[in-house]
Amino acid sequence: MEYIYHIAVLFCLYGILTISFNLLVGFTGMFALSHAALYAIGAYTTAILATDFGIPFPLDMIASVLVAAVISAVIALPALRVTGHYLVIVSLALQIIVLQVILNWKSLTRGSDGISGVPSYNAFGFAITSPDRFLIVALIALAACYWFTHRLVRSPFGRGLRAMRENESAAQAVGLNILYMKLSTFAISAALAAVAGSLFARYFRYVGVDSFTINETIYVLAMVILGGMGNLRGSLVGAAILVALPELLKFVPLPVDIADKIRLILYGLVLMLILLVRPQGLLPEPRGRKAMLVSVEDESGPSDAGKLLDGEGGRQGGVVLQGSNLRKQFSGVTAIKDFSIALKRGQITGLLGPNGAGKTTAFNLLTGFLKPTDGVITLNGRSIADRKPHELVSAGVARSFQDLRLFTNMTVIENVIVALPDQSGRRWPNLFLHPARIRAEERANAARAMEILRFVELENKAHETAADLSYAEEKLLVVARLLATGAEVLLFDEPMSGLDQTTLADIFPVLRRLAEHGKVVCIIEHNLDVIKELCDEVYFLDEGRTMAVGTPDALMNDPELAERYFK
Amino acid sequence: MRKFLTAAIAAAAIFMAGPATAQEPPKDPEVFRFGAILAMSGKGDWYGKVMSRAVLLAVDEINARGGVDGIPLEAVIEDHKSGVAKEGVSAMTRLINISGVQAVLTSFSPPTQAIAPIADQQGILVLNGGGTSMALLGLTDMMFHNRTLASDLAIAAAMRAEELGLGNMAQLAWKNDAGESMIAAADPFWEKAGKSIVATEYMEIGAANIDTQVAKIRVSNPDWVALWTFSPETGLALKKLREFGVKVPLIGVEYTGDVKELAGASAEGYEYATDFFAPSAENPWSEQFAKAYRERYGEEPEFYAANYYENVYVLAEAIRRARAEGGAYWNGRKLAEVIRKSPTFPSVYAKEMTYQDNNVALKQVGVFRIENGEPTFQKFIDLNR
Repeated sequence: MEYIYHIAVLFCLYGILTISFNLLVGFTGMFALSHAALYAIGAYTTAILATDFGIPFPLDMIASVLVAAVISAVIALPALRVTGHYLVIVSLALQIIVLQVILNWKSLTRGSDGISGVPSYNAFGFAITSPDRFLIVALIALAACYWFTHRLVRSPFGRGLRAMRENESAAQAVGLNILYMKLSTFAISAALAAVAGSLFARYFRYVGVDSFTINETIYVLAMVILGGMGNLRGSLVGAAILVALPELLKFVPLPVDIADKIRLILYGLVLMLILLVRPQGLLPEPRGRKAMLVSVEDESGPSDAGKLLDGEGGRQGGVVLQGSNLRKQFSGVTAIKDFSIALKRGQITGLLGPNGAGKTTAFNLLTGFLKPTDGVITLNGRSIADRKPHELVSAGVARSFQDLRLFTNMTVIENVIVALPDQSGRRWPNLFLHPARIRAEERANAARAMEILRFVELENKAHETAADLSYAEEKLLVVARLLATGAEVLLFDEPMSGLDQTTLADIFPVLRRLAEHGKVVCIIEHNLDVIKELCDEVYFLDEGRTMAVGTPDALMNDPELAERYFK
Repeated sequence: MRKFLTAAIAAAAIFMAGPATAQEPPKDPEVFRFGAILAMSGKGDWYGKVMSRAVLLAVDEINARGGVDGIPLEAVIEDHKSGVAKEGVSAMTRLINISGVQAVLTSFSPPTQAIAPIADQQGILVLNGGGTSMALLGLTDMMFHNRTLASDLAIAAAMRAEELGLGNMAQLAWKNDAGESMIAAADPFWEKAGKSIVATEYMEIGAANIDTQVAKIRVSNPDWVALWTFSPETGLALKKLREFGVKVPLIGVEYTGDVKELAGASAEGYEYATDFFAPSAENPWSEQFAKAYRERYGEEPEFYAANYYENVYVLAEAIRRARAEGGAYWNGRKLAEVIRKSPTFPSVYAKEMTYQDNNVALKQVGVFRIENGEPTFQKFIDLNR
């Protein structure tokens, strides 16, 4: 029976590791391969504190968690400037560095000898040395880690993570603080791995670098993939299978000298078979309605979304967002040479120009996605040149993208909810400090989102996955998501492209109503009919310069501009 | 009066000892099942192959002779995946709880360190024939070693270099506990001899490219190069050092079939200090073992094979001695106790070996020189000098 308990303890340790790794790679989409290093930091911190300084539980575990979280956050700061393959490389470097430090800081870590004789847990004079006793501790730790992570991912913070995973720039454009979310996730994931590491040190009573190689990260990654990325229960299933499978294979009688090699091959074959049958993992990430955090009942509750649809008030026609003498240079190429613009309350302003004129770059400058090389940008008279995109959204400037960048695996209503402002649940400590407030906000936000969907006439599609919408509906959802930010200045990048006349007829009134509500609207558009129909004022850009400003009719009747546009 | 008192005390002692001499009959199991946690897979699987072969050979020999006092031995081979501590613990737990073993043969330092608390707590005898780290000492009274520690081998190699009158030492070591412990032993020895260490380089186990380390060693212009590495990396080191034009003596601590294959002609003239195993007429058992091993596996036995073959015989002898004392003797603590009580055992290396107070068997360390691709015995090294 002790053997079964031992396997169960291993399952608990790997369960914690898999949950924490899934938080990082599954829910957040950050492919960092340094998990074993963070696991090692947790194990070594406990081993050193317990063995050399006699620090008892739970102080050793708390210290492990803090050390791993802080180291992870500090290292993550530069690492998070890169994504994709680069993050994999940077995290691999971290893995190597941590193990080299452990190997070479002999006075602290005993180098390659490792630390043996780590004291076992002792509760009221009752030594927890056997697997059956330790299993109780491990199960409590696993349950706590599962609860914590579940609370995290089933929250506004978790919704933000999923949005960020799907499209980072779109997440920024709806006001999510990407750096905060990445840093938090890195630190939390490391802290959870450190819990597993701390338990490892106390259970095995020996820590050595051999237990924390890159193979361990790959092993945990296999568990995450097998169980299902972005599914916590899947993580536990993946951990259970990959811990139990090699043990079960031990009972397959094979010739001694090749038995373990054949078992490894069998193990690999079983994994391949499972993933061939279930490529998304055994428990794939719930999508669409199944993944929704808000309840359908809450959507019909009272809503104050009306104020999100209204502008800040003030004089119609007053300048709200202004860019003066903007210039943007990329190495040797000057994309914007001299661009000035004034966006006014209650007006729809058009940005017109041939391909490559610099329209999208101008949008990027006005919304903080790019910093101007020269020039001044003000919002209501105050400079916003140094603000980050999510800060500008809070300040009242939001944008859409030419390629839509919807959160396609989320429902329509969640695409809107994620963009709603003033969500306490975006700060993860609030999830645990103010759970009642978060629940109340979520109920209110469900109702607000539904009202915004009614405004764009998408309420009947609220529970469909964004990926299942028609192109026209996607465009409307872009508008809804932008409205949800509550921003005063709304910049639409080609909102009408690819739409037929019937759909255009649906969207025109929506944009007009926004302007009537006192919003500042700016659109990039190629369709001259749209410009003529919608815009009060048009800026003509070419070669990175403002060539002309005027009414649509005035500009379209200018033969020089027409030549430039159709050249 | 004094004589009377002495006689009285002696009589009392005999009387008190009475119940012990009237011993219980031995409680025999149906089989003496023991475990062997070896590197059966992973980058060090060569060791597992050699060691497990030797274990099975010894078990079959003993059983062919009727087992231990008529009871057969049975070995259960487990895998620690070339030194992974966690795998060692899992294997140990399986062996204790499913196979019901009372003794375990182990190898590699990390898994051996990790299973030590379990052995201590559950009273399982552990016989190590492969792990060479100093960190293995003092972990538990239940653990005995018939492998000379790497640190002692390094000192023996350095003593050989000193005898040869060599001066500046450069060293290339495995980046692990064994490599570190050899450097930790050799450095003070060499400096105490008034000589210099001109380069210390490390290589990873399983490294395929050591050109940088070898280049640094070459430019340090040493009088000899110490190789604190084991199979198969020693072969790579020999090959690369010679390819880079390092012509000074190379002295290490191991030469195996893998090293021979990898190094080829570069091994010529290489010397190494190791547990001395060479079949000889002086010890017929060694010849008998080598012959049996060769016939069964078609290869010459390595000293690793000799260690594990010997460990099975140590276990069998310990069981025999414990059984002679009667009672519930098939018990790891009892086996450890009889080894400590009478620590001298027959050895396949020499006539016999004796476990010292630190539970490490004192064995002969021999120096060999590669001539025409084959090891040629040079001399014994007296580590107590």
